Amino acid sequence: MAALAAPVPLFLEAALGPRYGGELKVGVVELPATTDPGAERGGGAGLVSVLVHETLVGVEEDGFPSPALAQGWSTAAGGREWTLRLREGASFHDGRPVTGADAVRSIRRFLRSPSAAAARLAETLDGGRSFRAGQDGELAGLSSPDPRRIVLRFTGAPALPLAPLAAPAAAMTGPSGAGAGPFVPAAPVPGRRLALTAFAGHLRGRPYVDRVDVVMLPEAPAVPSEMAGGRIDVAPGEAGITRLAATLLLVLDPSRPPFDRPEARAAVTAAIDRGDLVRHLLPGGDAAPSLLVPELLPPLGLGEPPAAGRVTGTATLAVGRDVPPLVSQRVVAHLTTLGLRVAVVPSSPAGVVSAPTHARLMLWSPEVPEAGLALQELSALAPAPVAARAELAAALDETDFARRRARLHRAEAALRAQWVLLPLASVPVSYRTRPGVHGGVVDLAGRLVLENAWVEP
Amino acid sequence: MRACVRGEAARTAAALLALAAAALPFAARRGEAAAAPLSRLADALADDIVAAARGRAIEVGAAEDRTRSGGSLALDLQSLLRARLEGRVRLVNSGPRLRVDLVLAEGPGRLWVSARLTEEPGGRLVEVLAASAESDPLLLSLVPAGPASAAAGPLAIVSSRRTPPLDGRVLDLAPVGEDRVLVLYEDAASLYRLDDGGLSLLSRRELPGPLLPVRFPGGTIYLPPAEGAAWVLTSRSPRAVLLGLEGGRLEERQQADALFWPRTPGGLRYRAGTNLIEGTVADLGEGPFLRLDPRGVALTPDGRLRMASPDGGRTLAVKAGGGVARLGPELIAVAGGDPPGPRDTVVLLDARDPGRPPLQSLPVDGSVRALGGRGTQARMRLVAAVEEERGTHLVLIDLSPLAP
Repeated sequence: MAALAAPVPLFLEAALGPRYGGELKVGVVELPATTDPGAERGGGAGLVSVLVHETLVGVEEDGFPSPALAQGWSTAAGGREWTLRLREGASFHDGRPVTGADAVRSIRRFLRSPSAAAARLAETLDGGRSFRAGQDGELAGLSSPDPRRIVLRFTGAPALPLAPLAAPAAAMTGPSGAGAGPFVPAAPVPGRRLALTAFAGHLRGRPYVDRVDVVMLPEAPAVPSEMAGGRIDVAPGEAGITRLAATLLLVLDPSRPPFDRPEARAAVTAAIDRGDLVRHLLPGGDAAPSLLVPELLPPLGLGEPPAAGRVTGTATLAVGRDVPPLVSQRVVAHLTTLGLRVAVVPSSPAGVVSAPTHARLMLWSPEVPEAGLALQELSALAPAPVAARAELAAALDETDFARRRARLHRAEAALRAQWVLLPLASVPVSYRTRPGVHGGVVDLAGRLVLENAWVEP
Repeated sequence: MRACVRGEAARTAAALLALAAAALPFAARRGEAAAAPLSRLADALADDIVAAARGRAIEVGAAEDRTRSGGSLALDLQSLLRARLEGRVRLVNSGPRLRVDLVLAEGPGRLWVSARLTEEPGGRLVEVLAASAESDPLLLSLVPAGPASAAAGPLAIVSSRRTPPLDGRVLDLAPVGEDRVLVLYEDAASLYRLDDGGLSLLSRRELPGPLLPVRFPGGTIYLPPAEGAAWVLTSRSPRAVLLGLEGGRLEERQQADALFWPRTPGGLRYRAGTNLIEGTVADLGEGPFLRLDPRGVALTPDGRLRMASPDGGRTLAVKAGGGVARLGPELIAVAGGDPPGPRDTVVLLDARDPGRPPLQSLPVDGSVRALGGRGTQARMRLVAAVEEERGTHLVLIDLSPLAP
């Protein structure tokens, strides 16, 4: 058995050091109705998730797990059994200690959630498939031998078996539903406002600001005036806190005309000028044609460009509200030049993922920022070709890092090959901040993380 | 010893890297295993270069120094490497050859070297080699910190020196007597002796646990006058500790719930999970405070200077960052209060009227996290813990008044 992880010290660069105290008002364009783990997708839901909740492990930028509520782990039985040691002294917002029983209960809840990462964990965990399907209440592969440890037993020796536990939906909750994240939700007005206070017992220490107030913005164009008026400190917008962490994705439904014809899908692919989108409408973006942002999987190129052509008929296009309006207008313009009549259906960032339309245009960020899990999540957005599924399955089971990376590249190319998932650009996820706000970051899952944020006196 | 070092640069290297056994008894006692890090780097690199050369001639080319030693370390590494390659490969400066370009860097507790091997003529990259060696953990070598381009003022900088990156975050520090410095880390206190070569570790004492998670912990040292002891408390440790300093050893004498502090009946405590000090100091008033100096100076949580007064203290409009120290009877040193950036300053204020514009500013590369000082009207020593990308350094600046 070998311990595999150690915490990485946080490094801070500032003349004026981080300061404890103060508060932050954060504007969002949508706010989830509940703070339950992984309940919804989108920027607001992602923010609430990292404010309120904590997972057993995180994911480092190379895809390997990092300690969180689990402070370390060891493996046995040739990689089929993993024992996670819970962090000494970790507690939930209600003061109860985080125990093995809590971890088991939370993972069982996670396994039956819609999460793509949960699907991956269920595939590999002993008894996971039948438990996820609701056919069996027993879960042989998950146990807690004592209050400080849990044991996961897998049917094989999968690569990165703990990565699914970094999903927001896998967050630990106590018996009363309390989370263990850096902030305690105090006064929720579902879907409109959420006030939170600093959690003194957080595993990485109390956050700097005393209070975070998350408020729904009346509309995105209101950000400058709300900020100028001092009513918000942080809100979606240009510059400030930014990271290339989302993919502008057009998903075509291959089961419905006109996109049931590969030639029509190819024509759409050829018609959209990615360079034009990035140059004029997506500052800081990257027109490289990859489903994943370069930090997750460096793009290797498009291959043979598809042939141009005409596509006639009518198509409904669901557009996520977080897609900049000028971008969606330009995409619609490209589609209409093919001869298509396009009816746009505005949709929430959570709803656009499963909208029953001919096409969907969304800003997509992975549930877990690990290339294999991210591609598996994408493959669930539309029927994936057999070759792509096979290549992806092989990649997910590949334990050699270099071979896994090569297989992931092939799987990514195979997912794009049928022109159903069309990556149009890698897009920065950006938040504007008022002067004097420091330490906020966007993670590779496109979530605004404020636990290290602080405000100047 | 296999090292072949000559000249002024070599003498610098010897001081820096424990080659001079007489000056560095700790290193000498540890024997061969404690060979100078630079020698070990040269050994490792020479072996790799010989293997990569496969009979080809070698040119030892440029050596870039990113250690802020003024370039002397890289030059010495170059010399050591040449000495180790002689007789094993053909060393040339022209003709078909592999050129070796070196980059030397340092981090907490380690020195690193990377070497690019390129085929000449042509410049084709053949190999990239790297090696690292542990620095001497008992010696914080001092190197010139470069000309501190201080703004004009009443003080002359006699010397400015810095250590390599320390292996930990410094929360507070205090000069002890003429030649010792007490440094408070997150998990321990360390006592160093200052000599020509650097700061030699005399003693280290772990703090009481369990250590609590704090994102940006605070720590405070109080040196009672003429007691040969120091009270220390950090916001990660649950107990204050009185450490005896006699004989160059840190001996735990006592623990307490709160940090003893003059004119503070209830003592000082840290607000849980923060770097804010709580307590009521008779002439400074009620906390919280960001920093305190026992000679009647404090920083408020919003980074303002607060001075002792008979009516419980007065807060001035002077902005300050991560440190404050009395520097002799007439000076107060505070860290700059500017927003985050790559540089910081130590600002010197007139203790008689600190609200006036600063007397002088001393720029530093990085962020000042703690300040300590002592001195007389004739000579002052300022010690700063400066955090930057590679870790936290101590910077020692000796000052004296300019002649009228």
